[in-house]
Amino acid sequence: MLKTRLKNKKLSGLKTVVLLLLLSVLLSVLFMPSAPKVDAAENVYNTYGMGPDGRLTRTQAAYDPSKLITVNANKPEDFFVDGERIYISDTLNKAVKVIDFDGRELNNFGLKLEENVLVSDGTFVQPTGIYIRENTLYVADKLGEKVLLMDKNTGAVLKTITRPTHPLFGAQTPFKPSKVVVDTAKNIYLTGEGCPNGVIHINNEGEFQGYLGVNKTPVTFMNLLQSIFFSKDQQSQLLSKTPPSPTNLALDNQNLLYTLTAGSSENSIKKLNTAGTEIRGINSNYAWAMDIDSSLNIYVVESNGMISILDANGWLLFAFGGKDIFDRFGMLKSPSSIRVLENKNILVLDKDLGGIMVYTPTPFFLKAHKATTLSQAGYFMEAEDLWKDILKDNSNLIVGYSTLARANMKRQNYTEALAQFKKAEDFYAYSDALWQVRNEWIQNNSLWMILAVVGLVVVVVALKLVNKYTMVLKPVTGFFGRIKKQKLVSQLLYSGYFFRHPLLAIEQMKYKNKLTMLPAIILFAIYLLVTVGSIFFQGYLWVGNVYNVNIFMNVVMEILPLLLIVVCNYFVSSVTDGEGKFKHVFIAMAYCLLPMIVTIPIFTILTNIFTYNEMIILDAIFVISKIIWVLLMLVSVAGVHGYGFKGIVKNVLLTLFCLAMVVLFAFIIYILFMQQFNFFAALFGEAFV
Amino acid sequence: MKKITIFKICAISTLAFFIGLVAVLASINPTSVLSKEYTSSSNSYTLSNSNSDNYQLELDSKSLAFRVKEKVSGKVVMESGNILPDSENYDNGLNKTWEQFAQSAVTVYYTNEKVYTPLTGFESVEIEVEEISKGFQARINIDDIQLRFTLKIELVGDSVEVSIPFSSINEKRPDRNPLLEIAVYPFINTTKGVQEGAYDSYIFVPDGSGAIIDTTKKTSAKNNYSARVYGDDYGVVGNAGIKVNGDYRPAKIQLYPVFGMVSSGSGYMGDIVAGEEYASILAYASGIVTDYNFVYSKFTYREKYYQPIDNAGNTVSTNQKDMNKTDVKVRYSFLTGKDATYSGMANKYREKLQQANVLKTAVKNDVPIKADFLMADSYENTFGRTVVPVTSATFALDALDNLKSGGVKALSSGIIGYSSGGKTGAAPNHSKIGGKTGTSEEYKKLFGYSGGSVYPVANYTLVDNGVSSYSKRDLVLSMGKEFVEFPDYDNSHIYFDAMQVLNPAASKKYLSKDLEEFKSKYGINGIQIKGLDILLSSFNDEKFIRSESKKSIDDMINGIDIKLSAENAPSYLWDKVKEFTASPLSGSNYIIALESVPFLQMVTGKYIDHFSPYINLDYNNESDIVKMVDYNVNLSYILTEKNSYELVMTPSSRVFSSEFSLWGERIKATYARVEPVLSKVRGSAFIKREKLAEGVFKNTYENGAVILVNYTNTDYSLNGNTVKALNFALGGNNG
Repeated sequence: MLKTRLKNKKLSGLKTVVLLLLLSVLLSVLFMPSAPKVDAAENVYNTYGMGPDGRLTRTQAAYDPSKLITVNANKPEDFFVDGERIYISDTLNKAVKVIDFDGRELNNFGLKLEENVLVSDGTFVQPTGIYIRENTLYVADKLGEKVLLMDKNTGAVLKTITRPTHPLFGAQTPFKPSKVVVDTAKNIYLTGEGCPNGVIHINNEGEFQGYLGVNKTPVTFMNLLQSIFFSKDQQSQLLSKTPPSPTNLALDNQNLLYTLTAGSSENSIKKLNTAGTEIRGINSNYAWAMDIDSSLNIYVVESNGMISILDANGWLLFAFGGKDIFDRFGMLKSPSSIRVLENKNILVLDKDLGGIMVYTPTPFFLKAHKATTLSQAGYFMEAEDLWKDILKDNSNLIVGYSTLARANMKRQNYTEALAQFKKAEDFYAYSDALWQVRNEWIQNNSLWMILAVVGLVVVVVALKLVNKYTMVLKPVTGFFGRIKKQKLVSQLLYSGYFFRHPLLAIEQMKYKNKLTMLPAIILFAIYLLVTVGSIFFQGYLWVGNVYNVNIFMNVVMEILPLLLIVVCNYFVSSVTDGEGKFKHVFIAMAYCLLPMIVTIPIFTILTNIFTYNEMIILDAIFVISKIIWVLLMLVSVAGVHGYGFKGIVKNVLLTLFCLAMVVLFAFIIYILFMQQFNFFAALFGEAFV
Repeated sequence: MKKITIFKICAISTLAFFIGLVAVLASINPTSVLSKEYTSSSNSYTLSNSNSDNYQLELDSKSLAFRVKEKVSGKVVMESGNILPDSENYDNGLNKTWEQFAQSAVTVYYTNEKVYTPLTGFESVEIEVEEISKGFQARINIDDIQLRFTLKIELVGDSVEVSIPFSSINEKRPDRNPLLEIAVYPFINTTKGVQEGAYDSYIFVPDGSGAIIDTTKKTSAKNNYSARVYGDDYGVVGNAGIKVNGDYRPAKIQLYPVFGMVSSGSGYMGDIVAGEEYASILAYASGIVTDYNFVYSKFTYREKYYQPIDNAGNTVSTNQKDMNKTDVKVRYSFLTGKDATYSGMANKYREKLQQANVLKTAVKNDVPIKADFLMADSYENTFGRTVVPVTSATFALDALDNLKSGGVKALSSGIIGYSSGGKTGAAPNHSKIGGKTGTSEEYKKLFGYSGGSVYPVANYTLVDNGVSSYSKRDLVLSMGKEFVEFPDYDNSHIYFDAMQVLNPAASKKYLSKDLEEFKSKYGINGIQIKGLDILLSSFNDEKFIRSESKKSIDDMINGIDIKLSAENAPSYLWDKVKEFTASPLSGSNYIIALESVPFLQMVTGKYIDHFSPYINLDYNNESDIVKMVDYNVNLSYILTEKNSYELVMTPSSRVFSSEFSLWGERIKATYARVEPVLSKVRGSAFIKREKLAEGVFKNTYENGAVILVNYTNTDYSLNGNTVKALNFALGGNNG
C-alpha cells in the first residue's frame, strides 16, 4: 500500500505553474468526451482515499475498468499513446507494434516475413522503452545498447544513439537504456540499467550532457559499523555501495522530469527541477511506473497492481485495484507501464494479462480532480463549493476540509478554519489559523487581562498590608502554616531545597534521616501522573488527534527505566565502594524529578497555546528541563555515594553497562519464555480443542 | 513443505485433466467411466420406451451417452456426447483424457493411496443398463477401485433427469481409493469453437445476479469458471482455504444451482434438484484448455481440507474421511426457439419453483424503498470503547415520516446498531435495545411505525472477534479443528478485521431468544437478517455437515413467524423471504463471464422485493439508477442523523455519506423518477430481456408492460418511443 507523506506540506512555488495551466485543464474537464462505459457493473476492487489518522478510507469508485485491449505481444514493457494509435514495445518479440483502441494491429516495426512467419529483422534486440515527440518515435533498446529515433509513421530509422564516448559518462558505466522520455526541446532522458549516476541526459544532437537525479546511497547502521571497523581489504570485498539507479521516468508538460526507483521505499518517486535536483520526494514501497497528467497529478501503478493517484504535492487522492489472482476484470497481474490520457482515462499495460486495461474516470473522480486542480492553484474560494459537494458524497476525504478551511481563512473565519484544519490534519495551516485565533483573542481580551493582573496585584498587596496591621488573615495563614508543618508535606516541600542544594540535602538525608520513603514514592507517583496525563492534554499541534492511548504501556515505559536506573546504580555502587544505601539512591532519584514535575504541566499548557512559530520555546523548555534533571541526578549520585569526579564517571559508565546487560538478559528470558508458551499452547490445542 | 506443494496441485484438480500430466502429480485421478472397447463411432443408441408427449430419449449403452429427439420433427434437442472422433480429415482437438472426459457420462475423481499413477481410463468397467419406467438405469462397477454406483437417466416432461442415489454407492476400498468427486455429463449440447454469426449464443452461470459467457466472441480469459453452489465450505476446508485478498471485493456467491447453454435458438437449462450444497458449477469457453464451449456440474463426496500442524500456520492437506451422504439429481430442461435465452431459462426455473411451491404469493403493495438507519457504533479508546451515537430513535421516526409525506409511497426500514454499545460487538445478542440513541419506549414506537415496516437488523452468523457475549462452543470449528474466521468486508480498512462464525445450533439459539424478546417487548412485525448466505459445516461436539447446516438454517428460518428480510438469501430460503436486501446487481466480474444479467431478479422479482445495495455508498452514478430499473430492484439507502464524519474512527467508517439532511431530498427525487416506471411492473413476472443495441435493453413483463433502458450516452428510439441517454422509459404494449 502506498504511503505518501510529503516533505513539505505547504502549497508552494508550484502554484504559479499550475495557475498557468488551469484554464486549459478546466476546459478539458468540461468538454471531456463521454466515457464509453456501457454497463454499470460493480467493480471488483475497493477504492480508497486518504482518511484521518493516516489511514486509508473507502470511497466511491474513482475509476471503472471499461475495457481490456488485447495485445498480441510477448512481455511488452512499455507503450505510448499517440492520438488514436497505441505504440507498444513488444519486448521479447523484438518489435514495436502499432495498434488502435480495439486492439487491431495497424503496423509493426522491426519484423520481416520469413516463410510466412514474422521474425525479427534485427532492428531491435530488446526494446523496453518507447516515447513519441512530434513525428519521431524513440525506442530504448536495452540489450541492443542503443536508442533508435524512427519515423513514427514509416518506422524508418532516422538516427541511432549508442554509448556516449564523453569522459564524464564514465569508463566503466554500462549503457543499457531501459526507459526514454523526450522533452519539447527534444532533449532525451534515459534510465540505464546498472547506471548509478542517475538519469542520462542526451541533447537533441545526440550528445551526452550529463547525469540528473542521482539516488543517494542508503546509509544503514550496518554500513556505518562496517566503514568504521572493517579494514580496506574487507571493505573491498563487500558489495559496492552504489546507489540504485532509477528504473522509470516521466515528464510533465512543464518539461520537468520525474524519476521512479522501484524497490526503494524512501523517495522512490522524485520530481526534479530543470537543474536536475530533487524538489519533491514521495515514498512508495511498490511503485513501478508512473505518468503525469496536465494538472501535474501523478498516476502511479505499483507492482502489486494497485493504481494510486497523487496530487502535485504528492498527497494521495485515490488508490484502487490490486493483484489479479482469481481472473477478475479490473485487476492487474504484472503491470509494466501506465499512461493517462487527456480525457483522464488511465491505460495500464500488463505483461501477463496480455493487453492494456483501460480505466475510465467516474463523475465523482472528475469532480474531485477539478476541485484538486483549483485548490492546488490557490483558488480556494472557487474550489470551496466543489469540495462541499464532494464531502456531501464522502465526508471522510479529509483533504477536502483543508480547502474549506483555507477559504474560511480568506474570509477571516478563523475559528471555523481551525476546526476544519483539524479535520484535514493540516498541521502547518492549523498552526497559522491558531495564530490568528489567538491573536484575535488577545486583541479582544487584552484590556481585561491587564485589568485582571493589575487587580490581582492590588488585591494581594492590599491584603498583605491589611494583614500586617489587623491580622485579619490569621486563620488562613495559620491553616497553611499548620499544613506546612505536617511531616509529609514538609518533606515533599523539601524537594525545593533539594533542587537548590542537592548535596546539602543529601547530607541531611544520609545523616539526619530527614527524608523518608513515603514522600519519595509520592513524588514518583506525581511524576507518573503528570507524564501520562500530559498525553491527554497536550495541544493538537504537538500530538495530533489522540484516539487510543495504551496507558499501561506508558506507565511501564516511564517507571521501568527509572527503577532500573535506581537498582543498577545501587548494585554498581555497592561493589565499587559506594556509600549509599538502596533507600538513599531511591529517595535521591525521586527528589531529582522535581524539575520534570514542574515543567511538564507548564509545557503541556503551552502546547495548547503556542503555534509552530513559538515551538522553539517549547523545545528549549523540554531540553533544558531534561538537562537539569540529568545534572541533578549526577550530583545526587556523587552525594549519595560520596564520589569525586572520577568516581562519578566510572559509576555512570558502569551503571549504563549494567542497564544494557539487564535489558539483554530480559530480552533473552522473554524469547525463551515465549517459546515455552507457544509449545504449551500448541500442546494444549492439540490435546483439548 | 513438500506436502503442501503437492496439495496445491490437488486443490486445482478440477482442472486436473487440463494437461494429462497434471494428473501424474496430483493425488486425484479423474477418470471417465468408459469401457475399454468403447469407441465413439459406435452410435448404438437404444430407444427408451418411456416417451413423454413430445420427446423421446435414447441411450448408448456403452458410453451411457444420451440424446433426446423431438418426436414430430425428429430433431435432436439435447445430446450428451456429440464429440466426433478423430479421423483422417477431422481433428476433434482433444487429447485422449479430454476425449474420454467429454464422451463419458460421468467422471470419477478418486485418490490413489501414495502412488500417483496416471490413469486415463479404467481397466475394467462393467456397465449394466436396464430400462426403468421413465428411462434407463445403469449399474456401474469400476473394478479398478472397487466402486459401484447406479446412474439413472429419466425423461420427465420436458426435461431429462440424471441422478445418482446415495444408497447405490458402494465403496469397497475407501481407505485406499476414496471417492472424491463425480462430474456429471460435462459436454451436453457442446459447441466447438467461437460461434461466430450465431445469435443468443452463450453459457449461463449463476454468478451473483447471473452472468453469461458469450460464445460468439473469443474470450480473453485464461481460466475457466468454477464455483461452489452456496459458496465454499470453510468449515471443511479451514481458514487456509479462504480466498481473501484485501484489494478485492469478495466474489459473489452462487445463490441458486442453475446453469445452462444456448445457441441460435436451441439449448438447455440445468438445475440441480438434489445434492446442490455439494455441487460446483464449471464452465469453459472455446479457447480455454479446449476448443469447446461447455458447462457442467460436479459433486463433492470428499473434500480436501487443511489440517493445521503448528501455531505458525503451517498446514497439511488431508482428505475428508466420511463421505458426504448426498443424493445427486440434475435436471436438464430443453429450450427451443425463443425460449433458448437466459430469459427462457429464468422463466423455466421460475415455473419449477412455482411447482415446488417455493414461490407463492406475488408482491402487491406500492413500489417501496429501503431506508436503513445506523444508530450508533463505537471505537476503542483508552478506557474501553467510545460509543458514537449518530441517529436517535425519534429522529429516525421523523425522517421516515418526512419521506412518506415527501411522496414515498411504501417504506421499509432496517435499524442497525440499536444496542447500547452500537453496531460493533452487538451480535449475537441483539435484544439489548437502547442506550444513547433512545429509550426502549422510543424504540418501541419506532418499530411500531405505522407508515411502513421497520425492522431490527441482526446477524446470527458473523460475530465480532473478542465479544464476550458468546462462548467458544458457539463457533464453527473446522474439520481441521480451528475456529473459522471470516474477513469483515463491511469494515473500511484495507486489512479486514476477522469475524467469527456461529455454528447453526448457536444461530438458532440466539435468534429464537432475540425473537422472543423483540416480539414481546417491542412488538416487532419483521426482522432483517444478514449472513444467511454463509453455509458452513461445523465439527463441534454437535456435528453439522453441510447438508445438516442447511437443514438447520432452513428450520431456523421456518421458525420465524414474522416478515423476513434477508441479505443475499440463497434459493433454499426463498419460500420464506419477503425482502431480498443487497440484491446482487452483477456477477463477480470474472473475465470469462463479464456480462451480468438479472436472472435472479427475473426468477424471483414477482414474489420477493429486491433492494439494491446502499446507493449512497457505492452506487452514485446515473447509470446505477438505470441499472436498478433494468433489474427491477428497489432503491436502498443507509442514513444517519448526524454527519457521517462522526463515524470516521469506528468500524462503520465505510458509511461515508449518510446524513439525512443531505440525502432526504435526493431520495425523494430519485424515487419520483423511478416509481412511475416500476409501479407498472409491480407483482408481475419479468419474462423477457432483449438487447436492442449495445447498452440498450427492452424488458418485457408478464402483464405486457415494457421498460426500455439505455446505458449509453446517446438517445435511442424504437417505434416512436425514445429513451434518453442514461435513462429509462416505459415502452408501451406495442414497444
